[in-house]
Amino acid sequence: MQTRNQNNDYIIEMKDITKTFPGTKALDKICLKLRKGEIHALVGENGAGKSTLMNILTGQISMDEGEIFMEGEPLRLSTPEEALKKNIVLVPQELNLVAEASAAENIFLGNEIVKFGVIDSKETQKRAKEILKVLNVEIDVTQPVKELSAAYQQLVSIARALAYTPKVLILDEPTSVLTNVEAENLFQSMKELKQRGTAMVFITHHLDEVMQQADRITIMKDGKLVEEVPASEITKDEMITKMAGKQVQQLKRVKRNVSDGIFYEAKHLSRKGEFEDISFHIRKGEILCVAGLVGAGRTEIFKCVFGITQSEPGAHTYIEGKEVAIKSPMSAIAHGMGYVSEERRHDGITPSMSVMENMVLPSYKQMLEHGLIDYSQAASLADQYIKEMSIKTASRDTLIKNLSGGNQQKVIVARWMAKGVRMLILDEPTRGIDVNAKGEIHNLIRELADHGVAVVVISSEMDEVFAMADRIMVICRGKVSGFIDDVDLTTQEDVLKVAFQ
Amino acid sequence: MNKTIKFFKSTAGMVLIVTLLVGVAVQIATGNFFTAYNISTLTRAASFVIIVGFGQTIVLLTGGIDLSVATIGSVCGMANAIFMVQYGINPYLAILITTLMGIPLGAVNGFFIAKFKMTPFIVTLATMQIYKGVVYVVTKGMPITGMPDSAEHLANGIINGILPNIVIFMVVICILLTVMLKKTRFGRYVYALGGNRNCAKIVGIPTVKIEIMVYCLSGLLSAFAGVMMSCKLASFQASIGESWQMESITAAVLGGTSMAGGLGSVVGTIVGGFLSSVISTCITLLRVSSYWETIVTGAVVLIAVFIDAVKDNEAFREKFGRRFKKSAKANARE
Repeated sequence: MQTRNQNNDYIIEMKDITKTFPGTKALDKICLKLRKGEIHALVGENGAGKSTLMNILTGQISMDEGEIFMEGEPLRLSTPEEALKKNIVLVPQELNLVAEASAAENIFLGNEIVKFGVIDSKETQKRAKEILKVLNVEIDVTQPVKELSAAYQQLVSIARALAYTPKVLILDEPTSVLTNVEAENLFQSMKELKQRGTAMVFITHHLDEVMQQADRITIMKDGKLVEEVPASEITKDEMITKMAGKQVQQLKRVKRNVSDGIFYEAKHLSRKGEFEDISFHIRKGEILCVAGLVGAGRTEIFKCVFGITQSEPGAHTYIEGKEVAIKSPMSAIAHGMGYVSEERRHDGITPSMSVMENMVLPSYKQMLEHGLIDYSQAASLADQYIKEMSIKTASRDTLIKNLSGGNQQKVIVARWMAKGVRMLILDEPTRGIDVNAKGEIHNLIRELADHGVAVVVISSEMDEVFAMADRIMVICRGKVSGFIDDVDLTTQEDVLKVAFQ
Repeated sequence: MNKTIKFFKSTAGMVLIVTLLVGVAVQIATGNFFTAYNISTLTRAASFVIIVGFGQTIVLLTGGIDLSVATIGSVCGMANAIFMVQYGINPYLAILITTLMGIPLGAVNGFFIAKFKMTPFIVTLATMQIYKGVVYVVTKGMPITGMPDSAEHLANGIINGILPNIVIFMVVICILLTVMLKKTRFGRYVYALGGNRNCAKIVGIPTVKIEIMVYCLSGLLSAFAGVMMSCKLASFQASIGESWQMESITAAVLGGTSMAGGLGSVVGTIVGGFLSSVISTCITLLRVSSYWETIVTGAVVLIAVFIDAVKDNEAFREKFGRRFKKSAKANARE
């Protein structure tokens, strides 16, 4: 790292940024300086204020106090369009694409290439291809994005940001849905952008990535700045300690005893184009982790198990030895199952409802008094889980959309605990969630299993799989490529070998 | 206390304030707004739209829309008149039967929308046309007159010269619906469905059933309003409640119900329904040509919704605040 002290080396200077939301001080005098051509990592737990800070920088929300300078000039933004005009571009964590439109159209959405007043689709496609090439991605750009996998969709939304030739590029959890190879490609492109002088803010919970990629690191906690350090002067453990303000336990494997009773068994589940001939069972109190590459069909299999989709004929499913037909989520729930989906915003939470209501929505039946809902029961149940699971919320009546991702996830897990499920399927339960909350959610899952609940955890994070699993099911290209019974005697490489069989 | 403040900050609260201000202004100008006669006429006229608006509100809460409300009211009002006049059926029995007819008429909407995932706008647009056609085919456009007095008294009666029967009906329905929406599973599922349909399915809500029931309920309430209207006029004309579909949507939205679903209440719809009614009464009292009525109503709706949008949007508010400060500064300098 070179030492530069001149002020005009900074492309962005944010000074004493303060922002108060009803009930919380989201940002308290935060300063952030970005140099040209650097990768600046922004780390902190969920709710530390990283997203709020970036939303201010991209004009999505206004600040209460503070100043922003761009290349020495004061900058005032009140809309995202103004930020885009200044070439400040954000790649959001949650995908934000038009599903029916093609990749090329999505890349130039709001930024169309126009010739004689109409969109020049040939040029659009050509330029889209060029941009994707920078990311080392080769796809048919005329394909609707809904046909692309989540990983490619993420890359398309990064490509959209690049189409604005950003001076400042903000990447919010860009790698959470990417495989290692794809992530590596992304890092290569980031290095190239660095050469061109682009300043990048890199928000991630993967601290290894931070250590490898970032030039400088800003650590935030509870809306306050903890430290700004060059990446070479800090270790991962120090970073974790500073983020948490206390020593945090790394993901640790806990050995558990599992009963012999089989709760659920599936035989020959198939859906054309998604998966074929899937057979497996899960015992009471067992944590079955489902590993495999992104796009292997894991999510699809368990959507089918939960009755969201239907298997082709020839499949049999059994609960406690009795054959059952699960035709809808309703019947799955009636048989004691619960499901925590991969996409919280899409089908996990009901944003317009309170924390309490999101938690008790499937359990109202148990709270009826003369046909009317007894809210005192709901309230005490909600308060109990908020306390037990240390859900950070102003009150049980706060709208769930005002909670951080990790806390929303806890509410959804609580939803099924309150319902008293006997089998719970969790799809990527800790995606985009910080280390501390991750550990808490892992403990919750173990506790559930200790109470005899059969738990399925679909996870792309090998650390998580190894920390949690009593048994591992590996899925490869829509088929079961193997089971790993003795997790202690296995390494991550073994799993990968099975996955690539 | 807190709840009161919260209410006045809501859309319905803002609209209520606007409504009262308009009333006070006209009272000052003409001196005859807050009279027993005027208030009873105004609330009676508004109640019909508000009852239809209740059904519309619940449909909007699920994220749907019901354009067939007016013509369902019309079909049932017609049946009511025919039962009483041509078949001589007991008026109260006729009212009961024809009101219940709204359920199957609404169920047709719900069936196509929920079972076949068809767009509510198109489905109810189609049934609207069909029901309208049925009325013209049956009546050949001729009015049906000669309904018994007891029916007219029920719909048109006023207690103590100030409280119309229909207002009592409207309030009772409002209380029942509020309890249903707030305290029953069905009610909460309606909100959940509108708030996030995908999530509603995953938590095991019978979405198809709920959606069909919602359109049935909307049909039932529209039918009641249509039947009562025919009783009130003691005759049936094909034009009964023609403007109800737009007015019911207006009442719901002015009352704070989101057209995207998941947010709103039937109490708000009462406030929204009264605003339109107050405006049209005021135009009469101020002796403005009635041709101006729709222009003024449209403008007031636009202003009310605009204030509400600005109030909830931080970026807008700040922009206006800044511009205001700037011009204040400029003025000070001068």
